[in-house]
Amino acid sequence: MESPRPMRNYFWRFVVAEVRKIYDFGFPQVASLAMFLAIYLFVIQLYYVESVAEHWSIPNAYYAVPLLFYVTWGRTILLFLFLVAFSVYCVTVESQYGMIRVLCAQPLARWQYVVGKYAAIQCHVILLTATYVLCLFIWATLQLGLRGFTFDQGLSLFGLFTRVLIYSLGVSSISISVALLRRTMISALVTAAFAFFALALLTMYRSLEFGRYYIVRYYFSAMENLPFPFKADFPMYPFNLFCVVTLVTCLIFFLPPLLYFHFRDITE
Amino acid sequence: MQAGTPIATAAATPKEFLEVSGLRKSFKGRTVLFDVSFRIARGEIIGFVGPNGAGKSTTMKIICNLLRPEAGTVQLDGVDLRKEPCHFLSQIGALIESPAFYPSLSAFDHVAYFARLRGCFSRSLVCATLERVGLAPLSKKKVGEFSTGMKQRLGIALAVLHSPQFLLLDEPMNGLDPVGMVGIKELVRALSRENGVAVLVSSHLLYEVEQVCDRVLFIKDGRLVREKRLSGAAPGLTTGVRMRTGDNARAAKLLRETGFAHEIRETADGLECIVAAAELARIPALLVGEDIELYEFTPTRESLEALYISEYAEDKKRMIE
Repeated sequence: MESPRPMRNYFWRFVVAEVRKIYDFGFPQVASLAMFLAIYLFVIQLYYVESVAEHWSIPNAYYAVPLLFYVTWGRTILLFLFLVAFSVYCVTVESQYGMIRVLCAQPLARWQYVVGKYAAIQCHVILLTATYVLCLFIWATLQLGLRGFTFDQGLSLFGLFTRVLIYSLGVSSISISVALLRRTMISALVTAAFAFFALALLTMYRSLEFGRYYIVRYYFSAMENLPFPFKADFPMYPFNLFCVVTLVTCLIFFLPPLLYFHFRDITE
Repeated sequence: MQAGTPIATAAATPKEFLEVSGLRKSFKGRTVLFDVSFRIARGEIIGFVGPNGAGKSTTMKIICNLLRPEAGTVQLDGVDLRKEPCHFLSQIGALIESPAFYPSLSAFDHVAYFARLRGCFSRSLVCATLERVGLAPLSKKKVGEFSTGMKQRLGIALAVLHSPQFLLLDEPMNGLDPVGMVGIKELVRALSRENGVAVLVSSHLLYEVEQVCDRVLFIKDGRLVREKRLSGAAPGLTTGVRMRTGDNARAAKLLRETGFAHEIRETADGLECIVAAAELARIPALLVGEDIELYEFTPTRESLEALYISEYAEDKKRMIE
């Protein structure tokens, strides 16, 4: 019987090479710096222009983070928009510039190419989301200090990070899936916009119960369990349902590109 | 030549390394490849020529797993592309058309990326590879600012980076300056001679093909129509011979039986064949020793361009019309 052929594990090498390549593009570093500075500007606006501390009692950073998070939430959408554009770029840059011919001639199975792309881009999404939440915390701490900060409060802030992270990974994952089905950046961005718009519309479809099962609905779930300064309740966004919905949505979006890439001819 | 019959490498090839058999491919119902079959030996450099749309790039894309054939197999040293694609692809290096690369990355970043992917990354290897294709002074320059020729060199660097056993070059001379062309030809020859790398190179620059290749495959409308062993490739390897003898049929039979010549063709006034240079001096003695009168024995060299024109004369006529 023929002895097994020596086979290197190219998959993990591909993931590592992709992570480094995306880093070399420079976008993650620029985005992190932009977030750091932009959140600082929001902090100045809140504390010095709008004098928010005079209207609400904010003992320490723990209470300031949700305020900062809520007030900047409208701007937080910029993070997600960036993640969509970032994911789409990292996927379509290959087919747009013809590098897909070189990549698909490497010793990688097609599924490894698709999964490797997901893994590498999501590594950067984790770092970018962590940077975002960390920036909120750092600037809030610098303004108000950590007086009376407890371990439980730290856990709640970690919960905020977890929720934003899951949402970011979901948004990025959907964008990657859509981009893998397209061949140019513009067409991928337009398709991604349609996909999110459709998901948003579905949450409004007839009954709220039905709408509970779409990821777009969980836009505000990050604020669950935080000392929210305004009177509002978020019982419709339980964490476990949020996780299940995000996972299922991502899997549904993941399957078409996986099949498409397995059978497609690289004609770019 | 009969469709589906592999163009055999005859007596001169030591061992088949790449074996392409019965490839067929269609796009949107239009068949562009019909039972394409050929073999390449280790260390052999094969030219692949034909007009635009003849099926050169399609064949090459199938060999490097970019396209899925409807029928046929591709094997490299016994490894089947369909059954073990990763193992197959780990042994090949390919330059398929001119990739545009990532405009915001440097040449060094590109080579480093593929070196990491192949598991052979080291700064010295990346620098040596760039040096080999003449890009060392431009290694930090963004590829977006590169000329076509520089991109071509980078593509070749990516193809040879991991010391492949089989090299596939689709139009490697595109956009290269004369110095670049000489450099690439020398690189290809060195890889073939020193490392036994088999090379399949497609090009419209017939003079360059003639200089570097051992053999040329002609493709037309998706079918391999002819194979030509070249005399000028590896110096002294083979040469064409025209001869007139007292008994051409017997001379042809004798040459076939002894294996001194191949591609033996009887013409109106004699014989034409391809002879290994080392055997050239032995043929007259062989014929005379067998009592075959020898009137003429002339080593010839038919230009590839002339062959090409004769093979694709109809296409030329159609274009003029």
